[in-house]
Formats: sequence, C-alpha cells, structure tokens
Amino acid sequence: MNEFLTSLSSGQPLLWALFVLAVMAAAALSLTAFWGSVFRMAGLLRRRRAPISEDDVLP
Amino acid sequence: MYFPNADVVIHPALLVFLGVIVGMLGGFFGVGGGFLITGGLLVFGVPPVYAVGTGLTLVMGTSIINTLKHRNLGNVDFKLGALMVTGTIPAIFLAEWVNSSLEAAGLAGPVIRYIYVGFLSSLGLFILYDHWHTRRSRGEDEEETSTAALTEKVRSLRIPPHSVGIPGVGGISTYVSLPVSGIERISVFVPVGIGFAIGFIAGLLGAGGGFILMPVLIFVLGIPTTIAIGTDLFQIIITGSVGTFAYSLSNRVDPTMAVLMLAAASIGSQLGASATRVIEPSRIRFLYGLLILTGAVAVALEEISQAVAGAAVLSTVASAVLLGSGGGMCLLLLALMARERGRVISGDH
Repeated sequence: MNEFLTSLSSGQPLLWALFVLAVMAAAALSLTAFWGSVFRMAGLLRRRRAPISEDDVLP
Repeated sequence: MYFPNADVVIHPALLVFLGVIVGMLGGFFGVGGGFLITGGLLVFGVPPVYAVGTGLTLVMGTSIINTLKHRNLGNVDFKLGALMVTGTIPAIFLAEWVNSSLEAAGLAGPVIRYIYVGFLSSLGLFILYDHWHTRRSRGEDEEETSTAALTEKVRSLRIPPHSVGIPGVGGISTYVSLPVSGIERISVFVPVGIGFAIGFIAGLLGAGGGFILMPVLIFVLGIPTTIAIGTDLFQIIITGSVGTFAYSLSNRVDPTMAVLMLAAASIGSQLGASATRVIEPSRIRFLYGLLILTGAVAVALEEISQAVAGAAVLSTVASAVLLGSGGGMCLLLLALMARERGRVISGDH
C-alpha cells in the first residue's frame, strides 16, 4: 500500500491528483451516509423505547 | 503510525483530536479551518509543504460533509453559491499570479502576513463591535446587524446590462431571486463580484476564504446566519478542490493522513452543525469574532517569530494558541448545547 502511494504520487502527477480528489470525495460521501444511517437508527430506537402517551391514542 | 507520502510518524490520536476540532468548528462556523489544520500539523512535526497541502485536502473533505449536513437542515442556498463560484475561480488564479509577482519582487512573505493580521483583527473587532452595538436594540430579532443600511443599498444595486440577449432564447434578465436567502431580487453581478473579491483576497492570503465569506454574507448581503454558514461551506468545496488538485499535482499531499483526520472530523461535523440549531445566531457571530481575533494573534506571533532573530519559539506558541483556542471553543459549544438541551427538557423553551 505504502509503495503504491509513493510510486503513484511521484510517477503519475495528474493521475495522483485525480486519485486524491476521488478518495477524499468518496470518503466524505461514505462518512455522511454512515452517520446518516446511525442517526436514523438512533431515532428509530428512541421512538420504539418511548412510552405511548395518552395524546398518541386515538379516541 | 507511518505516513508514507509525508514520510513522518505521528500518533493517530493527535490527528483524531485535530480532526474532531476542525470538523466541529467547520460545521458550526461554516469555515474550512485551513489555518487551524496547518498550524496543528506543523506542531505534530509534519513538513510545512505537506502541512499546507494535506490541510487543504482535509478542508475539501470536511466541507463536503458539513455542506451535506447543512443541506439536510435547509441551510444551503445552492443558487447563490453557484453564482459566487463563477467569480471565485478566476479570482484565485489572478491572485496566484499577483502572489508570484510579489514573490519575484521579494515582497510576498511580509506584505501578505501584515495584510493578513490587519484583516483578521479588523474583521474580528468589527464582529464584536456589531454584537455589542445591536445587543440592546436586537430584542427578538436575532438576525439584526448594524449594517442594515449597507445591506439595503447592496441589494438594490442596479448594474447594467440589465438583460443579456442569447440567440434562439431571447433576452434573459440579469436579476435573480434567492428565496432561500430571503432576497427577492438582486443583480447577479453582486454575488459574482463578491465571489471574485473573496477569491482574490483568499488566494492572496493563501487561505480557503471561508472565514471572510461568512461575515460578508451576513453583514453585506444580509443573509440569515445559518444560511450564510451552509452556503459558505458549499463555496469552500469548490475552492478546496481547486487547492487540493494543485497541491496534489506537485505531490504535496498525504491522503492517508487526510482520510484519517476526515473520519474524526465527521464526528465533530455532526456536533458542530447540530449546534447551529440550538445556539442563537447573535451568539454564533460573537464566538466567530473571538475565533478570528485569536487567529490574528497567532498570525502576528508567527510573523514576529520569522522577523526577530531568536524568537523561533513563538512559532510553536502561535500553533499552540490556535489549537488551544479551537479546543476551548469546542468545549464551550458542547457546554452551550448541553445547557440548551437542559432548558428544553425542563420546559423553559
């Protein structure tokens, strides 16, 4: 891995620049999706645990 | 942990710490935090050329995360951001050309640093002045600023040509409506001009420009604070990407380090962006003014360390000031969030 990074960065500057941009964008999007799903899951769990109040019951 | 491109060994906990701070401040203030990252990486022993390039790369990544988070909160005006970007990109290249000319004349280093210190100090002091000035009259309107008259003038500017003829389409008006920002009608040349000015100053100072754009959007265009933060972040994605590309081409970026810090920054981003929902806009502006003033002190110390023989230690002090104030600000934000949450639970709101 280390060898791949150092050889690409020194041998193929244009490819390297595009690689860095792509890696950062992909990492940012994946992390956003990850945290989004974590918060959705947490919201679902909270709603499930919350006791049903009288207001929630239809007459 | 060994980072092959920068050829350094750094404890990952340090990078995680820096990443969380940068992510949180970026999400809260709408800034890239380039000055904070570069200062931190230098303290951790990263070679200067890699510190700047890797910093810009992280700025790009955190801006994507923060923009998406703010988009979910309805805080991004993409139309305004796109208009400003058309002015920013050519300005960055013009600034680089001016920078090279100043460098050839041997003026680049000191001139740029003096401008930087003056600029940061004036901006920070103005924001604090505005906070105190409008404090009593503000009342319920958290968005009131001392520059309402200027905002009115800028928004009503009529700049020719008022329409542009396109063959086959006909005349297209050069005035747009920006409903997300609460602007009914404005000449497209105003946001494009602002984008150009910010891009030029940012390029000249070697910064991302987010720290200037956020107050300009609030005090000149009169945009609500949270929308200014989100739109500013969208703009930083573009400037950060251009910077990342340029630094990567000359092999001055360590992506392994940037990705590790980005993962940590994503945690801070969630907290920072969420904090804008519970902390009042006037307080956000006040805290931002304080952060900017700390930045001015750090840059001044850096300048003294380079100008005065035997004062090299001040460079480390400058980075420590930046990291300390960034960390302190994060703790303050967490405390404010906890207080607001406590108020909501006890039914004060």
